[in-house]
Amino acid sequence: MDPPVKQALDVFFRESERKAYLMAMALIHNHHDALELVQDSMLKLVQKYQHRAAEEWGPLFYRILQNAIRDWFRKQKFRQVLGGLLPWQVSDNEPVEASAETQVQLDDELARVVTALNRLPLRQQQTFLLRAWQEFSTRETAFALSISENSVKTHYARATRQLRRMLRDEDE
Amino acid sequence: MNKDQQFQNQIKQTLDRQSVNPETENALRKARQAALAQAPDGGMPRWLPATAVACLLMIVVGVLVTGGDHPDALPPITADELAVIASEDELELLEELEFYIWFEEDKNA
Repeated sequence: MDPPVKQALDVFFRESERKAYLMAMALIHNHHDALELVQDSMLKLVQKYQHRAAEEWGPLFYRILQNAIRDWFRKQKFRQVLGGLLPWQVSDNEPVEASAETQVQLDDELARVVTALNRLPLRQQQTFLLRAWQEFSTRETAFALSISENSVKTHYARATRQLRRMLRDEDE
Repeated sequence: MNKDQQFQNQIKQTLDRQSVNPETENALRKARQAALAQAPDGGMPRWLPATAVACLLMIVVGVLVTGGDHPDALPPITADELAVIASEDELELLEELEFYIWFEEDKNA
């Protein structure tokens, strides 16, 4: 890899890795897997897309990560189904992580937001995090999640409405 | 700024307050270094030798099978097309055309 590209990628990852990990943690609540998904996404970006313009890396990186998160949920679902059918086949299940707080420091307000966020459907969580937190445009979010821009608008509006309702209800 | 935007900003500020412990910071640094260390170097692309062999094979097979001029035959495959057929990277590139279209539209928007 050319040294300037390597340096630019290093800067990009330094700026993105923490938020990417926190986003993965907010969605899957598994420190080890979140780290692995972020590392795999970094690796894939480097291997496949290092020659792309630097401004393309953000949407590409989050597309890779969101696909990996979706695959992670599919695998979990499959394991659950398999566990129900053949309990002895999944006896090597990893222990459930104690809590996200051991790896990510959350104050009370943060914990409330994350808890409310986790009560939304996955697509709404992903859309909300990419639009509101990562500050992606509707178009970038649609690309990262491989869905239409109209779907992004719908998920974002629903997520915002639900979150506001949940957090307001807790206050009352 | 409407009520939705105010609420979204408020949530963003709350999420921005998250921090990770030093152990996780360290793990992320290692992950970054590992990803960068495994990057292919700037030498000959991996797919080039395979593409060259595939091109040669296609030409030989083409000559053997057709054995000469056929007026109704399909137009010959160009070198560019052969490279696309033979290269996994090129195929991936074609599969991601939607990204390029999106990116161009985004720039022009």
